Amino acid sequence: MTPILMLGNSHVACARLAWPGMRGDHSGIDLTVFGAPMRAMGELVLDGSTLRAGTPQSSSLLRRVSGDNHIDLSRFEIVAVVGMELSLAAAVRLFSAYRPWSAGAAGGGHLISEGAFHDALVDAAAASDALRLCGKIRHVYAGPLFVMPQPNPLEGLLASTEGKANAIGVGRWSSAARSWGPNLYAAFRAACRDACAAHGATFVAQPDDTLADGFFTRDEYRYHDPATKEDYAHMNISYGERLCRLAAEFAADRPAALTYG
Amino acid sequence: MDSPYENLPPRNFWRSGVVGHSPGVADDIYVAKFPIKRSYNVATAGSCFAQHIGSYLKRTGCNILDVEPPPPAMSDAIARKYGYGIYSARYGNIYTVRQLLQLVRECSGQFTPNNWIWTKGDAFIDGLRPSVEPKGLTRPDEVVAHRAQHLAAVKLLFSRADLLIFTMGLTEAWVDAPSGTVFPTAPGTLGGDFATSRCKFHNFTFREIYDDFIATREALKAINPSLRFILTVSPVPLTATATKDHVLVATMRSKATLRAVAGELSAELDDVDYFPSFEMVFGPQSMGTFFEPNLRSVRANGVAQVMRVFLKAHGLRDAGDADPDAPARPVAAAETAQAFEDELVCEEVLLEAFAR
Repeated sequence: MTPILMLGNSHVACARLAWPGMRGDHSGIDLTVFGAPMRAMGELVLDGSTLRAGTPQSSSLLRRVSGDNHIDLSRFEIVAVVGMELSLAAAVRLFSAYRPWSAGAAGGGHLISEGAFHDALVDAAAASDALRLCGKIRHVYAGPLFVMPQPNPLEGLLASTEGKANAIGVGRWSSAARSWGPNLYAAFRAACRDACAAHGATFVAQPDDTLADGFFTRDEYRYHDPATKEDYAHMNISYGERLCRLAAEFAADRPAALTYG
Repeated sequence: MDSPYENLPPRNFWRSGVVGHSPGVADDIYVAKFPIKRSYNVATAGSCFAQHIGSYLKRTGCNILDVEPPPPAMSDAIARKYGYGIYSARYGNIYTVRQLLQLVRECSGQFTPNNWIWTKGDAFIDGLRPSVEPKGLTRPDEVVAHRAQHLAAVKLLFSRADLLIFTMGLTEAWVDAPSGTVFPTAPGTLGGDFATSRCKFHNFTFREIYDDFIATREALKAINPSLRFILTVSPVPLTATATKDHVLVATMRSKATLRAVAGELSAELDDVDYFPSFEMVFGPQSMGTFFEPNLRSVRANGVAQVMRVFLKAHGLRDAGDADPDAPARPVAAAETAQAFEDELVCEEVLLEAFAR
């Protein structure tokens, strides 16, 4: 049985919810999901081969969500990092102010070279908690390392007029999607691949069949929580099943070169 | 018998003004002609050494203009690779006064460069600022669009600046012979092809440089009548000379010419000041201690010495000093200076590759 560790922030919660119901069909892997919301995962520190909470607040969050405030990497043959600010949002923000030549009249007011645009996206990815955690992991772990981004916002976002949706920049998302969506998403994925490669990690893009309208996540994956009606960012158990199936694929394909990005 | 030297201050005598302070210099080596206030909008341009001035002034809290800022997501290292954040606009190194004149006239619609789109492999670059797009652009019309955006930004810069700090770097330049368009590097160094270009070497004379600056000042005053200038001469020796002279002889001629022009302009014009960074690093009192072992790159302590004098003369304080008004800067000045030196963007260094 291949022990797999899936690390992440709130976007790994759906996998944690999904896995108990899938375990029976995937007897070849033993998946451990370890995560905590907000910045707790970004604040993890290395203690030998163990990732440990970096602050009392993180420790408290990790214990509450994952049952412990540390995890020993040496127990695992495969590690995957999920979410943690590795997000298309960075590309959308950049595109709202800067436009590469190939975008024509779309995008922001400042013309920027394709090379600089790509490198800025790589920098944004590299600065995410996800990639910074990969850097820490690589100090003690040489095995297969996979990185999955934060899922793209749900397609319902564009139709929303709700306050929270507007706060995360519906206008920016809408403009990017309509004017240059597929290209921007391709640029984001290419940048993520390069940023992950710098850590010897494999970028695993959001599965295409979970997407609609260019790069938005299909509304069927929407996480319905009465307390968070306006949540366009978090996915439900069905999406979690997709993440878990990807984890199973990692074990099946290992150590062959993978082309998930 | 009275001597005209009898009542002069210590700074007027070599022994008291120089020897006692070696390898540094006394603060009174420079008396500012006019002050720099923190509220001033300052523009920086020039050769490699000018990068230090902008960097230090930023740390004092001075408003160093940047009309072409990098995307927020971009790290400093990548931004510098693309010419962002080095000077007040992405014009790259402006080694000669003629380059500056061209730029000012071009952004005012009074000059059109020729043969300035160079190839770089399969890509195209702006030969007037060949360092700012290391990967090049995909099409010539993309280069044109980028330059148009740059020129608009440069015009905005000059219209907003209260002060332009310009570091004169070289007298030697490469000129598109039919048109007179001057480039910062020879075709073939960062892009382009020298064999197929129509470029010829030119070594600017005192008179040409002087006239170019007067014309530059006039063109800038047309955009911004209240603009003032601080001139410096880069103490960095030539990496290579295209003259028949030995590189040391060519360096001394070049620096002497630039220094003489700067001195003349400062003496004649109320709105032009000269800051003696060249003397502080290159003078005999330094005994070479401010140069790296390659005898060319200026060491961090040399830059720190120069900027200490500059800041003090203008009543500004580096963030390392206890100035409650200064913004917090966590990195020690010397460390920053060293890191900055390591990353200094200087096409001239590339010439060394051709010398091997």
